[in-house]
Amino acid sequence: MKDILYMVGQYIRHHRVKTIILVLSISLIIYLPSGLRVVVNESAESLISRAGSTPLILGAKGSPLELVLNSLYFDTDAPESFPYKEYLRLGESPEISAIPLHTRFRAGEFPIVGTSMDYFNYRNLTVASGENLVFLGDCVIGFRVAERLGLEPGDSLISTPSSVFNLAGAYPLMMNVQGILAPSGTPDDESVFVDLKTAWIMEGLAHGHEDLQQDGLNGSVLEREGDNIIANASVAEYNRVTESNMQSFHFHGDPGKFPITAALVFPGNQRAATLLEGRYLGEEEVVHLVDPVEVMEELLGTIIKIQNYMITGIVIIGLSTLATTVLVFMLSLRLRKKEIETMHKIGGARRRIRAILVSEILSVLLMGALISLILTTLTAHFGPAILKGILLGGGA
Amino acid sequence: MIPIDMRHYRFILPVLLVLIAGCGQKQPASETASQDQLLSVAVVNYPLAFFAERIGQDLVDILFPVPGGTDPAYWVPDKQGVTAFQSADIILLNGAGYAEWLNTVSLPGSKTVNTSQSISSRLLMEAEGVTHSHGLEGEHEHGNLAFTTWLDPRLAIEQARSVYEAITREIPEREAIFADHFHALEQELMSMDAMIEELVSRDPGKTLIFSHPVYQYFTARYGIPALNLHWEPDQVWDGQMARELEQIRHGTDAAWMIWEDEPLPETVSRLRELGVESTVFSPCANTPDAGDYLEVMKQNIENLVPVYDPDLGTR
Amino acid sequence: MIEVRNLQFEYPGREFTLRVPSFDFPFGSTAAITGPSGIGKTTFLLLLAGYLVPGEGKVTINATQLSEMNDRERRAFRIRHIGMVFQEFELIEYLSALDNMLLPFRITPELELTREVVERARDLSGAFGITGLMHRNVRRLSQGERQRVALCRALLTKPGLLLCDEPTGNLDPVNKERTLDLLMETVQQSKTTLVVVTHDHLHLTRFERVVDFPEISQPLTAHKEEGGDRP
Repeated sequence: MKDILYMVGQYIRHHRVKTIILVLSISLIIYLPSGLRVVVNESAESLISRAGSTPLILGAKGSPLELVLNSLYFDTDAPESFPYKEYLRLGESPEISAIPLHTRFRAGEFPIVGTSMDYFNYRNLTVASGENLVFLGDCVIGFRVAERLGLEPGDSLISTPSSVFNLAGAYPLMMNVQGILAPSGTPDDESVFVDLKTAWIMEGLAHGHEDLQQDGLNGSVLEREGDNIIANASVAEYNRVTESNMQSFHFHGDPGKFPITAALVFPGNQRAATLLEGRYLGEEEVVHLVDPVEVMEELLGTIIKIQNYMITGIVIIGLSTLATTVLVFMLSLRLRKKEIETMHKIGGARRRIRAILVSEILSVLLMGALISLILTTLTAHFGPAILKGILLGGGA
Repeated sequence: MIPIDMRHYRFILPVLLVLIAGCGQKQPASETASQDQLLSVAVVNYPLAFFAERIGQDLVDILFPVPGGTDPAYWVPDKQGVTAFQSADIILLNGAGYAEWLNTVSLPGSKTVNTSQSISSRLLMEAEGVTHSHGLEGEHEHGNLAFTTWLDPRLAIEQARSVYEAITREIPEREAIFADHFHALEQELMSMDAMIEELVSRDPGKTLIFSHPVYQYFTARYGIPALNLHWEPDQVWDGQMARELEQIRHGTDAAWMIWEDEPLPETVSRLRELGVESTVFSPCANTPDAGDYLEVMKQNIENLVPVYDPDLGTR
Repeated sequence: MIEVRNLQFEYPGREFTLRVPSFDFPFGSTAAITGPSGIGKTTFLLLLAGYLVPGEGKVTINATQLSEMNDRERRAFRIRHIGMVFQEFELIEYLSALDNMLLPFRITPELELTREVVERARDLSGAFGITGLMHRNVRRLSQGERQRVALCRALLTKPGLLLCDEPTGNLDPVNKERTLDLLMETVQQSKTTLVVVTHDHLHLTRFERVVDFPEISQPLTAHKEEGGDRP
């Protein structure tokens, strides 16, 4: 056996380029369909499982896919927002519980998720260091956010203005990092969580400033209309919530009209779910309920269809590549005819000579298979994250 | 201390009997619950603490961290206080904008119960109060609702009902017991309502002056015309107060001042000189020094008797 | 003793038939086979080696009848007892000089590649003056060096019979002389029987016997030899 392997080794060493090309061709033939299947299956599983833990999602009428992707993964463009009173409507039924979401803002590359503390229980998120949300202006960050920005509890994190053309509207808020979540292997690791009210501060719907009734601030008063004081633009607003200024923070306008981007809905039973779905069938409703599993299955169905077409294409190309590989082997044998003849002439055993030739082919096949196995394993590990990144596209 | 005419006992006795009977109705729990089975109930004011205690009794552990002497509506918790609320099984909110600190903290929505959700259509706006807005086109700061909802016994019943439903959702197997407790409380509140209604009916339309505008639900319930000042019970009498009183009384025959707490004796005598008698009607927002919510309300009713039934004795 | 009786061989599909009615050659001596191109000298050599099988007649090498053996037995006999040297050297291009010498030991279970064999290869290389080239790829050797590697390969198995087909045909006169000297010296020392097909008349005197192939064969038809017969 060692003589055969020696001869094969020497042959391969001498014909490196040809061998590498053959090995790569074979590895690609095997890897492409298997890798594709692995990445799609792993991604599908993870996408469906995250969707599966959310029975229903309430959102503004529009693209169900956009709503589901943003509500589950945060990293896509936020869907149209809808009034907070629609979320409060859900609370009218004791059999329905819900969690509001607001995802219109980012802190650099990371989405800021305005929500309630129930979100952490729902997603089994625990605080690994520091504490959970307590006061307005607090944030709790995923461990990847902490890692990449080098943040610890007690540090600050500033939100990114949603538009440089509307600085007066949505202004950046310096958030107080209260805690860092334990790794969960989900998009929550790359998100910044705040109380919904803190998100409304970023919207410009709530703010803090000095008391306009106090003496010394008359310069900030534009006029008085009955019991209402109209302030002018010189009123300095706080861009950070601190212990000393917290009580000055207040809301302007009716909170029922404040925006949220989604509500995760948990009906207590099927009857409650059916009644709820019926409620939103009317044309006059500004919101609709979507089943995230259905939406993801539709998306994945499309992806799987594409996958199947791609695999068919790859198989066809693979067959032609295989045919070319066989041709290369046959030509190689023809080129080695003289060498083979010499071995026969000097008395080489027919079986041994055949074994040497076959082993060269098997070695190439084995190396190709090994490389494709390594690539498939790497794909199984990294591929789902890459595919998710492609699917979700990254939010602005 | 304001002297009480013994003839008041004629009226008081039936009230006492009902209230004492009600107090005695603290139902024993079918078993004594161990500490770790207790439902932890955090509340924002004393009336809700009372309702939760009366309904849940041995099966609930009430968390009401507001220190005595502090108005719970304006209390601001520290971090420990907030995390204590976050850890409770149920967080009972008064609703109607009560406790502004709720706007600056994070609480789990699934645990919070707005006890005035079911009566939201009956909430009243504050008649007075300064708001502000930014720019000529800006939205006003969110308007203030009056929040002493428990001073209307009928609204208090609905709040108590919310408490009962919330506690029952957590411990459904005890529903029958909680229902009994709630109905007993309901009866007492309805009796109280009937008493007050009957008392006020003796002099309907009588205008009263209130030291603070915190009696909106009480005056609305019983149709009491109200004039509101912003006086503290421990405020020292001065000329400004006299002028404010004169201004507010002008054109009315208001002759009684209703205080949240005992005023200074000098203030009482100054008012008397100006033809205004004083009595106390405690809103009972925080834990009383003595007694409980019903006992305080009992005392409040007693204190109103001379207002509406002068024949029972003058001061 | 090499014995050939009534040998007849035809290449399938070709108009060439080789007939050798009788040929004897004692072991331990040297013989040169001469004759014009295309008359079957190389074919005869391959028949003696047992690589080609005669249609009729028999070939006996030292009392072993090759024509009675099956393919596996002939190969085994050939690789153990017969060394072969070709005009084109027929070295394996992707192996070094040493690996080419050791080739017979790698392509059959009949021979075992031991340390002793490797030492013997070094000794032979030394005798042929190519010790320093042992680890060099044969493509980087001169013609003379390549032929010496081919000789070492053939002699390494200590064959009783060495068959050479135009071993110096592609060499220049200097290398030709040198190669022949080495060859003769080696076969004399090891008492190896040597049969060489050659066109080189200048060196025929070095052989104990010179066989004019047309005298021992009776080809019915001839074809032009181009670099040696091929089966």
